[in-house]
Amino acid sequence: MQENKWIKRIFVNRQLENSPLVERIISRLKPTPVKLVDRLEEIQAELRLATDPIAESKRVLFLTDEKAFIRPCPCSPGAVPCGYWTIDLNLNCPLDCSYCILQAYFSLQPLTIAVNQKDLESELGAFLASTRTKVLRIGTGELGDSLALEAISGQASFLIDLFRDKKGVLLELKTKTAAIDSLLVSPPSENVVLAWSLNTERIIKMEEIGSASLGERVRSAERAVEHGFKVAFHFDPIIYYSGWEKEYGEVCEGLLKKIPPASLAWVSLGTLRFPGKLREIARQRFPESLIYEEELVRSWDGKLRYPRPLRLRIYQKLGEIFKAYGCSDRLYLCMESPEVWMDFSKQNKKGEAFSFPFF
Amino acid sequence: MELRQISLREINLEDTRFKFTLDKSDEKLSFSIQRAGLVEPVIVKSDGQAFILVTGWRRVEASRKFGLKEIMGLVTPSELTDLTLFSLAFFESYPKKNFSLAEKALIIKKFIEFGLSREEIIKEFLARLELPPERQTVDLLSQLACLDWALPSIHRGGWKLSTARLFLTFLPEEREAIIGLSEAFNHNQQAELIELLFTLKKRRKVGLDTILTEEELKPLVRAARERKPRAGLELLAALRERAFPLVTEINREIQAALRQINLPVNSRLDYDHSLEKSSLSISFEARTREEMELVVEQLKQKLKEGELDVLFGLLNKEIDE
Repeated sequence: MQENKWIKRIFVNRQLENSPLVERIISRLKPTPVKLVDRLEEIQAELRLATDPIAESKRVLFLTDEKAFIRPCPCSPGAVPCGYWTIDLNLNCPLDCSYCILQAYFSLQPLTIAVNQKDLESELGAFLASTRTKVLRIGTGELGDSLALEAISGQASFLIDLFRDKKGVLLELKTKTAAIDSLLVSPPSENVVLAWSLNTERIIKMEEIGSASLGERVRSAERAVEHGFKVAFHFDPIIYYSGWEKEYGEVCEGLLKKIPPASLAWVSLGTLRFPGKLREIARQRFPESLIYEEELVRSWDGKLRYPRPLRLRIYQKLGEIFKAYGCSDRLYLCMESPEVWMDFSKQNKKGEAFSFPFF
Repeated sequence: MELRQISLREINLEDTRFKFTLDKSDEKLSFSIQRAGLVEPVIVKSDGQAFILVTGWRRVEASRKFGLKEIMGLVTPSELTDLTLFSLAFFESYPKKNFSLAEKALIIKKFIEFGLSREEIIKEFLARLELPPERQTVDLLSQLACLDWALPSIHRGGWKLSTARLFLTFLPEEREAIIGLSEAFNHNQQAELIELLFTLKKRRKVGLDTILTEEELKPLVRAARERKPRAGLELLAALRERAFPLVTEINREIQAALRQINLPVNSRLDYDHSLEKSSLSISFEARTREEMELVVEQLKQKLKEGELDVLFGLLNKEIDE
């Protein structure tokens, strides 16, 4: 039985009661109470009564099936896309980051694990057969942390095995945890990239509730590299505050001293951005957080962002550090405008997926 | 229910237990009563000594104004509970009226007072009131409804849930200050005012009083309280400058530079004031090819002389911090 830090109740789609994966997950979470339901709405009716439905939704697990798993990463309209694809095997996340878009994206969505893995296998086969992209990047960290529920679900291990022999496709597993032990049991896979979202220790402590510390994340990345995995990092969201330059600089330098460039697959940079609805929710849920009260302007896609000159300054400062370590070719900007891309990279890639020259 | 003539003097208007509408009697209703009398009877409950109004506050107000002594009223059976009567009042208005947030808050508070559970309110009423059907909506609006002194302003201001949520984070004396200012602003401006004050207060970690008594803001606040023309707009502009210092500063420099540039007649220079785009756009009107050639030539000359360089420089300005 695994240590269960989060889940207080399990709901199971009645039609999947006898699924081996369902049985396995329930047994791993014993003695957490289990209830069979016919519809998601039954769970939502309970979540509505909570004083903080979003927090409550992170403590309730729903084991069900999903109709489809693979979709293009929903980049902001007008931003330079990076050609990423997502696999949505899990919905929602047990971590509770003050800036997390899922707070606004989901409405009363319990932590959800899709247990119909066979369906993903067939969908992936058809998807890869129909895709012409030279190198395809795909990952699970869009609608939840890729590894936070790994001890319960084993989904990441399943995916690593599923992708092991797939040519021309890179699977990324993105996390803010240090939960990689189970992934280091099997041999590494050349086309699997383990990735960590990084931030400064100050932001991790104040804004990323339930996540691993910076040191734990970097140490996990080192272990992944030692095991033979390629790794990636996402400085996203970069938060502007007094002292940002020094503290983010230290994180980057500390990281680059430990991770050899040859093992570094890619690094994304993205400053804080969000739709107005998220600010409304987060101000209520995280009254101590100050990140929503900085100078933020409504930008081209309707999201609130730092003014362009400030964003550019941030990207350039961090870019200089990566350049000094010979890794600037691994950098890309996440959900940024062609203008900022152009100024950052002196290349206008509008309308094209970002190509990764190192693969 | 029994339909009968009721003396207006028999209605105890101080008992407002069933009242949740905040609109005053309007011109149309006054005119209607003046010309045709009260067509639709009010609903009342008898407490043995007087009548308590269940529905028809505006109608009674208008009838009194026009000197009517008696109106038609439906007297409810004595066995009906206050919850049933309040439901009656609610459902009488529900199909006819778009409730304001302040009225919705009163409806929820009164339903709770009359014994309806929060769960029933969430399940049965919130979605129908176009509110998120969640417990925290009930909690927030119950809290808002307790501020009866502020409800008329909130009602007139057409506040949304998000504005009320921010408003409730302020201290009691700060709420009073905000309501005191609110009449100087229209609906959207009230929402922006509260948003800006919230941001500045939290960012600077000071009380609202410190912000509103700032030397430059003081006269603007006073003028807004006195509802002087344009006072609200000027106060908002001053608060925006404080909330968006970087964008304000660059825009100010651009505006100063623009004043130094003599563009050809009938031409107009524009840029993205949010600074998301670093491009300039110049538009001009020309009725003939010759006119257009002239403007293009003049613009070329200005470009050649570097007159616009300062603008491109500002729009691509790199900042130190």
